[in-house]
Amino acid sequence: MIGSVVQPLYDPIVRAQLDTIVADAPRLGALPAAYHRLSEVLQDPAANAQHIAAAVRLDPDLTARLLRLVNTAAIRPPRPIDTVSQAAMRIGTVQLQQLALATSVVRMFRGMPEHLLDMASFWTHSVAVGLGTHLLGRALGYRSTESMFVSGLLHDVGTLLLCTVKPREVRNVLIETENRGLPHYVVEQQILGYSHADAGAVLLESWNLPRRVVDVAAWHHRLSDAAPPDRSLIDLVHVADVIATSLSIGNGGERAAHALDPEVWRRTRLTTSQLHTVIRDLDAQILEVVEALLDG
Amino acid sequence: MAAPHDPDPIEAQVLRWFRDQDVDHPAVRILFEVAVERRRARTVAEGSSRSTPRSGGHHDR
Repeated sequence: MIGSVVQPLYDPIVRAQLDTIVADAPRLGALPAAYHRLSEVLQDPAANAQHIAAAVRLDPDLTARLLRLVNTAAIRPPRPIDTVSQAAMRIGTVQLQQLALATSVVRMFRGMPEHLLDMASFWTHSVAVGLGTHLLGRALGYRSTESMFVSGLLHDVGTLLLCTVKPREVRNVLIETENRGLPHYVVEQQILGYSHADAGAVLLESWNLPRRVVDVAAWHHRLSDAAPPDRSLIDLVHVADVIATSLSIGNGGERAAHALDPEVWRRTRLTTSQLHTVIRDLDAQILEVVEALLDG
Repeated sequence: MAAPHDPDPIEAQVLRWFRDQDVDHPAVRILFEVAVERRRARTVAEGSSRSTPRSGGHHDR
């Protein structure tokens, strides 16, 4: 399937290359069955607590991680949540589905060789961007912040895909990034003809994830280009990415802090006081979320 | 001892990390100050835990 937003970014040859890269990573070919079962149940208005429990029963690891995640300070339940069906009632089915997606994707890349990328550092950066996006959205009074965490978390997932399928080329990109002092997505574009943003968008699209999640991955380094109709989420992910790289919270493969696009900052209408609050809350919450997602 | 006009070494390190950033932008200025504060705290902590401070990378908190 080729999405209406991602497609214009690529000429057909590059698109074919990206499709081949996704096809060359069969273990990343589909999200886990438990995630799909849970998604189906959560979207079914007739489903009850038993259906939800049954959907994840055969995947105790997913269940345990989900419960740990929904009990972190980032969610802040007034009382502990003990079961997945309870979580659905207390935090809502949309948010639960997003957290199940986050947990599932992190698990898919578990055990990946780390000679090119420190996975803990990569995911720490990704969680910082996800959590940062969620906190920025909340600071701005957005009512629906459910997909913000996942959109930020997965914005760099193409980096993992490229490390998996194109390790030699990624090594060259890393060396040239160091030598030339350029942002690594620029070097990727020069050497490969596409970037991790492009690869990530095609991967997320192949998983049939919502368009806004795909758009964030596709556009997060193309802020000044023509953008999809609703770019507010992409703008927030950019600011969260700048916060995370500036404060060196993990590392997604960069050799310098990302530059803040002043036009994006202006569009978000964020204040410096809100930025202070987001930094404070990010500090308070990130460790618990990283541990819930990565431990074990 | 450093001369009065020598750049602060911690700030210089963070400035290198912020090489693509406009540190005069109010939001970037906040991030820069927080980054300097954290690096300073880490340097002090490292100095107190070992005799020869390590030059920390930027890759992790």
